[in-house]
Amino acid sequence: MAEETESTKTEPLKTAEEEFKKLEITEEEESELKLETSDHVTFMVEASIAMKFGAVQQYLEVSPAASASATAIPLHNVASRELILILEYYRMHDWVDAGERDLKEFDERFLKDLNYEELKELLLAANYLNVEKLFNFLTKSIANIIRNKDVEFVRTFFGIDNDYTPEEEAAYREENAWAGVKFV
Amino acid sequence: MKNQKRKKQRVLKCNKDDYISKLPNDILCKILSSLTVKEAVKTSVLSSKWKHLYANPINLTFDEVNMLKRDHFASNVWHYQSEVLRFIFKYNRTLAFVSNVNQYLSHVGQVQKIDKLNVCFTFCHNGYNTTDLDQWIRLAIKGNVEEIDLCLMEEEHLSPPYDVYVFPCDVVGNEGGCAGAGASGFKSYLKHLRLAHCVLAPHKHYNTGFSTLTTMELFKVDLKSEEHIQFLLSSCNNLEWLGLSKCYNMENLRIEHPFCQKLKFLNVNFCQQLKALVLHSASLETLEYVGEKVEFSFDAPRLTTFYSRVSDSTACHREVWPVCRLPYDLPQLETLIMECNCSMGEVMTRRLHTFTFPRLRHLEIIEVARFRQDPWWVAKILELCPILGRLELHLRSYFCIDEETRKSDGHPRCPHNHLKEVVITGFRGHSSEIEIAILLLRNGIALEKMTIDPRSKSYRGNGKWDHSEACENWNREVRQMVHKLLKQEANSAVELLIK
Repeated sequence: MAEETESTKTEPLKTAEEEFKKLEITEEEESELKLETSDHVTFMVEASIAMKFGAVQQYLEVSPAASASATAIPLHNVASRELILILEYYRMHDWVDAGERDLKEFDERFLKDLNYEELKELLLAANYLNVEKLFNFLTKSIANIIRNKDVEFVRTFFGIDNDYTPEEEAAYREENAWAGVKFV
Repeated sequence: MKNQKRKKQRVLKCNKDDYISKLPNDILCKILSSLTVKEAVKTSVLSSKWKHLYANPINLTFDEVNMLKRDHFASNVWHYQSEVLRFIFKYNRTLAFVSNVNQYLSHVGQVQKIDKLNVCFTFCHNGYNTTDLDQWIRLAIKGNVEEIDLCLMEEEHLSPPYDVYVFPCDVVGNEGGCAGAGASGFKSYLKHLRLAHCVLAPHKHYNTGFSTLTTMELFKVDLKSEEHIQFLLSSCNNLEWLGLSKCYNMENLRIEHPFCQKLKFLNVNFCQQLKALVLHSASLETLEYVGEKVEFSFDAPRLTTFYSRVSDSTACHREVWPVCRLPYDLPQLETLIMECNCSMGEVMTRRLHTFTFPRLRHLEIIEVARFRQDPWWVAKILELCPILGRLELHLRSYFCIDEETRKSDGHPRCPHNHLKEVVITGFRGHSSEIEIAILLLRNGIALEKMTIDPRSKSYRGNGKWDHSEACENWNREVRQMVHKLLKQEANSAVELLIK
């Protein structure tokens, strides 16, 4: 259920105006950090979100001046395409009014829009940026993709070349037979 | 990490799909940790690089979902008609479980650090392979485990007499650990211990392993005797949080100097044999008590938060225990969370008229009313608590007996100078609920904010609440009606929020 406050019916205009003012104020007060991706695109990011990135925190610890100055914080291993996605994810999860159901729907949609290649790039970026929540979400999602799949699917998914001899492989299958997972 | 030599470099170059394998092993381990153990084990067949990746767990979780094939799940026991066949099924199931865990652990040998050991499986005292469970605990302690969570009965409804597993206190204690590890400076890092369905009875010399604990939660644990409880508590120097739920063989619980000097939170829940609760503690801040009437002996100056249930059973009708004791036992009380049953309104008005809660600032009442909510009772509350600043009423009315006419002249006068904030949850828009809100608006002279929330809230214990959806009758029209009725009562200083 959406949480909206019952506004006084006689003065809807005034309330809307006040709301708008509030928004303006928060926007003004919110400080921003300049981030530069590996493909040299600069982003102005709300400090409250940027400070969730471990890599940004670390950078600011080493050179605290960057938070005030106009110098961009370089993110060497993150391309703009990934940063846009990461920001989209964090802006949604940072949004106070987002209910549990909204977030779940968002997460599902977010994942659906990614192909395996993008998922990989995003996982690497999340790992580099040290953004815990997104990283956990992605590792869980990947685990879900390979869950209950046969060995060949998982090999293709991860692009693994099988370096076992047929005898070795048979031996490992035998050894792990207790797990009761059907190997195809 | 035991990485195999990678002769397949060309794969990395030519196969652009080989991406995730390029990730460091700890990230791959992280992915595997989201799988069940039996799924993770499967990945050893992928390639030599993956052979031992699964064997680097941070958490050890041993339950049927992780360790057993589907046909060994406990629910299958009802496919067997006779007692004998069921026994054989259970026997084989236990053997399979223990052997699978042992086989898995044989690969996990070199793990540096284990965060958590979690076992959920039925183990009985001297049953098959309880020594294996001892061994797993020993292994976890050697891996500097911080959290142990054992639930050793899968069929929750069973109660004693049955022979439950005896927790090996000597394993977590220094001496036993030393012998097992063969290292001289062996130290336990155990911080959280959660036990269900077992015996916990440390001896005098085997209780050192508990000194690192900060939280301990015991459910249906047999504590053996008062002497054993004292041994246990005497070693809990760092314990901050203690929960005892449905524990056996505990007649007296004494937390006295010099034991448990850091204990802040105590939860005692339905411990049937309990007769006396003695709390002489300088650190204790919160007490939650649910159960039969027991003798209280409190000397705990910092104890200012209390949660209890008040029932309307005939035994309690006379006294409204334990709330009736609070003005005497805990005059310093600042926060009270009280869960009441249906006719408590009447009982409280009749019984509590002589009391006051002089320091109470925050009161939450969870009231389950079968019929009308009683506004008179709320007026009484204002009288009893002269400096109350925040009042939360969590209402649950089951039947709508709402067609009675409102007695508009029946509002009691009980002006209150301190009440600043009121929250009413579980609001359905009944006239009796509106009456309560109006009463508070009229009498709360200093009131700043009133929140009306149609979703009901229930207390889960340990400071946690559950929310549920608004009742199906709550809609825009009801909200507007409630808003209109309350708005005309509220003075301009009151912020009225209707969700």
